[in-house]
Amino acid sequence: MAMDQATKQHVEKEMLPFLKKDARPDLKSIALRFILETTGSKDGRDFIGEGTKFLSAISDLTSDTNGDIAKDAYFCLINLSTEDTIAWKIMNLPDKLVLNILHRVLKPDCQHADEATSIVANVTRLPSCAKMLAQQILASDSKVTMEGIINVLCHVKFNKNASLHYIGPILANLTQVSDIRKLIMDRQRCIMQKLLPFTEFKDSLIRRGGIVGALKNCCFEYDYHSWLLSDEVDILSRLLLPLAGNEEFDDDDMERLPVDLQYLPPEKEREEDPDLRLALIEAITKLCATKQGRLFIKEKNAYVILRELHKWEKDPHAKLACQKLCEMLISDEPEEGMQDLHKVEVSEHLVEKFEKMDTEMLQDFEEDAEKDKDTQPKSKSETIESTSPTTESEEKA
Amino acid sequence: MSSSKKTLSEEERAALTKKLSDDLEDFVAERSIAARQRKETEAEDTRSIEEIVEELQNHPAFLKEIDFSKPLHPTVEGLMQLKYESEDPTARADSYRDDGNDQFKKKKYAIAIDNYTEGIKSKSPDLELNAVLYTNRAAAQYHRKNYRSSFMDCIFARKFKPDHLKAIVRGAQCCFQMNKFADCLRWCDAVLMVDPEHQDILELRVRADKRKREQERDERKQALQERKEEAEERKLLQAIKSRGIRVSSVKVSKDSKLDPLLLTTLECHNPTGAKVHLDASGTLHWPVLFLYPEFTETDFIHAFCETNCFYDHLTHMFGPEAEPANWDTERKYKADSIEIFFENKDEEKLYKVNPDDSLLDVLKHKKYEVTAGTPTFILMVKDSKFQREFLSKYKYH
Repeated sequence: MAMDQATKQHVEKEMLPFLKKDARPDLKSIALRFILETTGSKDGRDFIGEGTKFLSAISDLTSDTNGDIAKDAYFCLINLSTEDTIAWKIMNLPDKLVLNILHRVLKPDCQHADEATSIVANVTRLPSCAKMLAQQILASDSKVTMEGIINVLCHVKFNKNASLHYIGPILANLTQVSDIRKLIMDRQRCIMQKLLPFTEFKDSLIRRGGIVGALKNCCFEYDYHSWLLSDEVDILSRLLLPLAGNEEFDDDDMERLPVDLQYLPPEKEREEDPDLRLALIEAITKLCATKQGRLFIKEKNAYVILRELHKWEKDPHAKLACQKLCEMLISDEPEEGMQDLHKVEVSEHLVEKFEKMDTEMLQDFEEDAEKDKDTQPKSKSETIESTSPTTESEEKA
Repeated sequence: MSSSKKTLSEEERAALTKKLSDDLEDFVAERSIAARQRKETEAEDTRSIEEIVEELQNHPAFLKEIDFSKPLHPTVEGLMQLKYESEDPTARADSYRDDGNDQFKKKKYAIAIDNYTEGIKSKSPDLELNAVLYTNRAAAQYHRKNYRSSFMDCIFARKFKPDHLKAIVRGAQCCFQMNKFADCLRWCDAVLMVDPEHQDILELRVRADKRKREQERDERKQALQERKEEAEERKLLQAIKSRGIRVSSVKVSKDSKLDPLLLTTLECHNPTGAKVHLDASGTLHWPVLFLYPEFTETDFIHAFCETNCFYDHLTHMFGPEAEPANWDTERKYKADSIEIFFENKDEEKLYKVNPDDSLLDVLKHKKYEVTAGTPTFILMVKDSKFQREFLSKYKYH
C-alpha cells in the first residue's frame, strides 16, 4: 500500500484532528482503526512514523479513558516499535513516554498491561533505547526502580488481567547496561537471588528467556563472579539445572554435583529452546573466565552434566558451545599469568584460526543434524542465528 | 526457671518460687506427654492459642491470685491497680503490654505471654497496639520454642498491621524453626519488601534457601530409592509369575496385573527378615522352613537356591559329617532315612517330595502353594512309627 505525497497529506489532514482525547468518540475510534490497519504494513509504518505528529497523537491516546481506544493505541505502537528508526523516535518522545508506560505496567490494576509491556520490550531491543531508558530509571527522581521491575517480574500473578511475561525481555534488554547489572547485583540486597528460580519457569518461554538473558548479561561483570558463585547466590546450580536431563550418575559423581542437580527424577527434561540452552552454556563459559570461577565449576562436577548434554544436543551452535566448555573443564589449567582468560590477549591470526576451526566444527554439526533429519523425519532440528553476546532481543509484530 | 532461685534471697520467697517452678515443670512434663499422645492420633494441634493459654492459666503457677497474696514491688502494684481499675480498653491493653515487656526483659516468658494475652483480650480498637501485643506474644512464644503458636501470633499481628516489620521477621524465623523453608523464603521476601537491606533476614534467606534445596534433594533421593525398590519387586514378582509358582490367596498365573497383595504375601514373618530374592543371574533364593513334627522342632534355611535339590541340604544337615541335631537323641534323622512332604492346605493332603528334585521343581508342582512367603516342608523318618501315625491323620497322596 504505497502512498503518494498527496494521499499522505490527505490522510494527515483527515485523520489527525480526530486522534485526540476530546474528539468525538465514534470518529476517534474509526480514525484510530484506520491508523492501526495502516501500521500493519512496512510502508504504512514508515508513513505514520515519518514525523512525530502521529506518534505523539497515538501515545496520548494510550491513556484515553475509553479502554478500546487505549488498547488500539497500544497496538499501533507495538507495530510501529518493530521498526528500529521509529522505536528510537518513540523513545525520544517528550514526557518520557516509554518510562511512563513502564510505570503504568508496574501497577497491579493496569489495563492492557501486556500490550503496554510489549511496546517497552520492542523499543528496548535497540541498545541505544535500552541505554536511554536505563538512564531514566537510574535517575534519582525516577518513578520506576529496578527493584520494582524485578519484584513484579518475580510475582507471577501480579496483574490478574495480564501475564506480563514481556517484562522478562525488558530486563534482558536493560541488563545490556553495566550500571543496571551492578544495581541488580547489589550484594546488600536480594534481587539477583529472586530471579534465579525462573531459569526453570515452565509457564512462559518469554519470561524464562528474558531472565536467562539477564543472568547471562550479568556474567559479563567479572568482578561479581566470586559473589555470583558463592553460597549467597549460587548461580551455577540455576544455570546448570535446565541443561540437566534425567541421567543417573554413580554416587561419587552425584555427591560432587550441586545439591539442586542431585538425584533428578526420570521426568526431568532439558530446556526445550536451543537459544536458551546456548545462552546458559555461554553464561557458564563466562564464569569460567577467572581461575577461581573455573576451579569452582570444575570442582562442582559441572562437566558430567555438560558431557551428557553434549551427547544429546542436536542444535549445532549449542553443541559447539557445549563442546568448547567441556574441553575447558577437562583440560589442564593454563600456565601462570594466563589464568584469567578474559585478560589474555590473543593475537589476530590466532583469532582467525580459532574462528575458522569453529566454523568447520559448526558445519560438521550441521551436517550431522541434517543426516539425523534424513533418518528421523520426525525430529525437529532448527538452526537459528545466535545473538551477539550482550543483546537479548525480543520482537512482537 | 532455675535462674529465679539465684536472684531471690528471702527463704520464704525462694521456697515458693521453687514450688512454683516444680509445679510448672510437672505441668509442662504432663503437657508434653499429652502432646505426644495427641501427636500419635492427630497430625497437628488444632486448638487455638487462646485455648492453650487458657489452659495454662488454670494452673496455679500462672494464677494472678498468687501475685496478690504476696507483697509486690510498689511500681508493679501500681501498674496492677491501674490495669484493673482502668475502664478504657486501650489503656488496659497498654498497661498489660508494659507488664508483659517487663516480664519479657526478665526472661519470664510464660508470665509475659499471660500479660500479652490479657492485653489482647482487652480488645482495644488501636490496630497498632494489637499488632504489637501479638508480635510481643509471638516473641515470648518463640523464646519458649513454641514456634507454631508464635507463628500464629505473627499471622494475627499482620491482620492488624500487614507490614509490621517485627511480626514478619518473627514469622520468617518461626518458619525456619519449623523446617518450612519455602514459607520462610516467602516471609523473608515480605520483610525485604519493607526493608530491603535487613541484614538478619538476608542471612536467614540464604540459609533457608540452602536448607530448602537440601530438603528437596533428600525427597528426590528417597523417591529414587523407592522407585528402585519398586522395580526390584516388580522383577521379583515377574520371576515368580513366569515360573508358574502359586502364592497363597493370589492367583498369579491367571491375573495379568500385578496384585499389590502379592507383595505382602511374600513378606516373610521370620525375625531375621529373610525374604525371597532374585540374584543377578535371575535365580530365586527362598527362605525355607523344615518342620519336624515328631519333635515339634524346625529348621530355617535363609536362602535355599531354587536350583539346589533337597538332598543337597539333607546331606549338609544330616549327612555323616554333620553334627546331629540336639533334639535327635536317637540319631534317627539321616540324609537317606528322611522323607520329605508338603501339605496342600485346601485339600488337607500331603504330597511326597523326591529329594533329588530341585526346589523349583517342587514349587512348580501344581498342588504346591507358597504361604507367608516361606516354602514349608515336613520331614520325618521313613517307615517310622511316628510317620505312619502322622500320615494316617492326613489324606496322603
